[in-house]
Amino acid sequence: MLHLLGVNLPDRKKVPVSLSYFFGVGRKLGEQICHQLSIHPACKLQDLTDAQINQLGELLNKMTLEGDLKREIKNRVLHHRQIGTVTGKKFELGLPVRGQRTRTNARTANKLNRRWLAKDYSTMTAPRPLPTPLATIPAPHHMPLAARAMPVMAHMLNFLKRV
Amino acid sequence: MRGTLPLLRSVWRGPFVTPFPTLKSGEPIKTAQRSCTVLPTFVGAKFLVHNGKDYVPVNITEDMVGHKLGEFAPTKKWVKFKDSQKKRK
Repeated sequence: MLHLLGVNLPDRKKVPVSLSYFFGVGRKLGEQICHQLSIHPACKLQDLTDAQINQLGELLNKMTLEGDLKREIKNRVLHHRQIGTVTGKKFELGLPVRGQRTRTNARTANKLNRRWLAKDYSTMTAPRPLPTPLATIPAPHHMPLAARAMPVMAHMLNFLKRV
Repeated sequence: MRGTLPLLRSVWRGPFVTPFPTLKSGEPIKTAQRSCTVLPTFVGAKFLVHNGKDYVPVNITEDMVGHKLGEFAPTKKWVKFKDSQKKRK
């Protein structure tokens, strides 16, 4: 069991698979990380050298994973709930958010969608801090004029950039 | 699972909007243009967005800017069971 960044990783499994034990890393991202660090994807975690493990740790540190990622997701859901969109209401009710059918088959949504509701018992009536207002985030300088005029869009594009 | 981000229209096209000449007058604007993106100039305006049957009042705030008008006007009447009323904000 390798303990890395707060998560126990199974030693005997292949590296991409063990990396997927991080919340925020799946199989594909695990393989990408291996490619980036020149680790053969069939290597087991116990066969890595200490230097490689350090590299892994450094790379993973730069990404949003685990608690940080969960917080980000909760904030996004909170944003939807606070402005009163349909998406927010779906999360509250534990329904599928992306337009899937609900007459049958919504079990995963029922199980998983409720966990993104921010649990805030003691300060339920106090105003909650919102994510940084979109209008104050400057557009990156290399964006075309249309995006510069719409910092909102640029901000949304930034969200999509991974690693 | 990712906590949904709004759908993206290619940036070079610019946002999809329809012009509202009475925007600054302060009176509620009745519209069926659910696909119109909310622009920063809309903030503070009051809309009545069509949901197929009625017009739902929507007060535009700064946080609503990248979204579409239709997102704030649910089109279905959801079934409410008496024992599973979720606590809303």
